[in-house]
Amino acid sequence: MNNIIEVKNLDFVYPDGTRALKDINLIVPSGQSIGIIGPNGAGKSTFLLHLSGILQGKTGQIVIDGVNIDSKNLKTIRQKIGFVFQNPDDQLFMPTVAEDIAFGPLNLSISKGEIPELVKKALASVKLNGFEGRSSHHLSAGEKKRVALATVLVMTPKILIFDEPSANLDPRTRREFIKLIKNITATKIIASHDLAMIEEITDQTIVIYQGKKAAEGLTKIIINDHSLLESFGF
Amino acid sequence: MEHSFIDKYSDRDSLLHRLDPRVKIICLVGFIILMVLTPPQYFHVFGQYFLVVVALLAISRIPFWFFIKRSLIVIPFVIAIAFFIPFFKEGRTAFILDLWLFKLSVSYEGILIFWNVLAKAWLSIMALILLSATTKFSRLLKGLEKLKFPKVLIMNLSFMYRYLFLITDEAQRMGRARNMRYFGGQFFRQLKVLGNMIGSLFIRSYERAERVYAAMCARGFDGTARTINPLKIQVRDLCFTVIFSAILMFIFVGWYI
Ligand SMILES: Nc1ncnc2c1ncn2[C@@H]1O[C@H](COP(=O)(O)OP(=O)(O)OP(=O)(O)O)[C@@H](O)[C@H]1O
Ligand SMILES: [Mg+2]
Repeated sequence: MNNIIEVKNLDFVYPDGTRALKDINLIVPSGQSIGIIGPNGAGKSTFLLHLSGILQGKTGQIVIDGVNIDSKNLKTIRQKIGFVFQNPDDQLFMPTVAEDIAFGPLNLSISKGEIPELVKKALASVKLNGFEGRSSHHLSAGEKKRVALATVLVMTPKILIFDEPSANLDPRTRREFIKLIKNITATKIIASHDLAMIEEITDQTIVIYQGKKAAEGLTKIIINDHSLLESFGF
Repeated sequence: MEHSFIDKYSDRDSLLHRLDPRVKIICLVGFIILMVLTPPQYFHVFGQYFLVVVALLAISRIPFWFFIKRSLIVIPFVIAIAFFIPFFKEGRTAFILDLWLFKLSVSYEGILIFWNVLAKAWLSIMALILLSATTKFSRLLKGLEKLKFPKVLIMNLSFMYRYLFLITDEAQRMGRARNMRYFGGQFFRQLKVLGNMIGSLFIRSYERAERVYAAMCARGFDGTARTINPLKIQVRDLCFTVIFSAILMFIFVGWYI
């Protein structure tokens, strides 16, 4: 099995001096689902932003599907990686759902004739058929989450990144959303405080604590190691 | 929270709602230009313009009182600008206002100019409301885009429309949080609090903008705005344009003869 993500010695300091990541190493085999857990402020979101090249550290190296992330090949990287942000209001910035879903494919220079069909398929895959003309700010939280997922799925990424996918959802919407994520076949990286969801979806879990990778292993083992979790504030 | 202030009633269904936004924009601009070019003394022509607006209003199924109320918004501005013209414009005296200390004479020419400004502004705003109340904001922007409006401007407007309500919500929540702990008085301290609130609202919006930009980049944004075009001119659009222009020309040429 080849490795789709390789992170070596990643360090990151925010401009205001906060050291958010310290010497992170990670190898993800293709097709695996990885959970990232850790207390508030541990650096989970910061790490995910690095994987998609939105933030770039000065030291360390990230290789995605054989391509080394740097500012020249971001376009290739972004074709491979889909990022579902924590707050769908940040992700849905166009006036209508259809325009939002079309945004990514248009940037990948897919021809305009194919786009309506792609939009329709993406909406069907998140079970929101017929939502094309709706405006994003009149959707419910669950619908927004699913449209946000559709905007990413439409680009058929090899890797999907989720930051807190189950936050702010009611129990039923949460279950439905988890089911949707489970059924996607891409490599998945999921950061969350929702341990039950991590256990349900992911194969491997890493624990990030104060910017460092504190533990790593099979999800089943990590989630059930209560003394380990307790020592990291769970 | 649900808001739809800018394009209230735009999700109803009528002939006007279904028209292509480009057609509506062009007809609106045509209407306003012809009306502004009409000399003010042809009162009956303005009556006819008004009838056109009323007819469109009837077709559009926008509630009458909503329409009137919203159209009155311009009146204070018009009056602020044009109120003194009747007193200062030289010409034949219409009547003399006898105030206790001094006398003011009002000229016919002045009244005519006042009427000119008032009628044209009011008719223009009514036509504009017909457009904005029958067109979803997103479609309006699409129409402007297709009419070769600058893309940057369109993007800015669309972000404004998308995030205006979120920012309003944020401001409301902050206001509520303050009111929970505010027990009256202390006017100057309140001003300071208000300043802090505006500041933090600005920072939150700024940070949101950064997150939105990150989300755009994650989906391959490289500085060029690319958009889809769901608009198609249909038979009804052509029919409307032809009939509407014919009526307008008929009215406009009418005052010549
Ligand atoms: N834009 C920023 N500028 C400066 N410091 C930041 C910025 N964003 C995050 N940080 C800091 O970096 C550290 C890691 O933050 P990060 O958001 O990655 O944590 P997290 O694990 O995602 O937390 P949470 O579970 O609350 O989402 C925190 O100490 C945070 O204060
Ligand atoms: Mg986070």
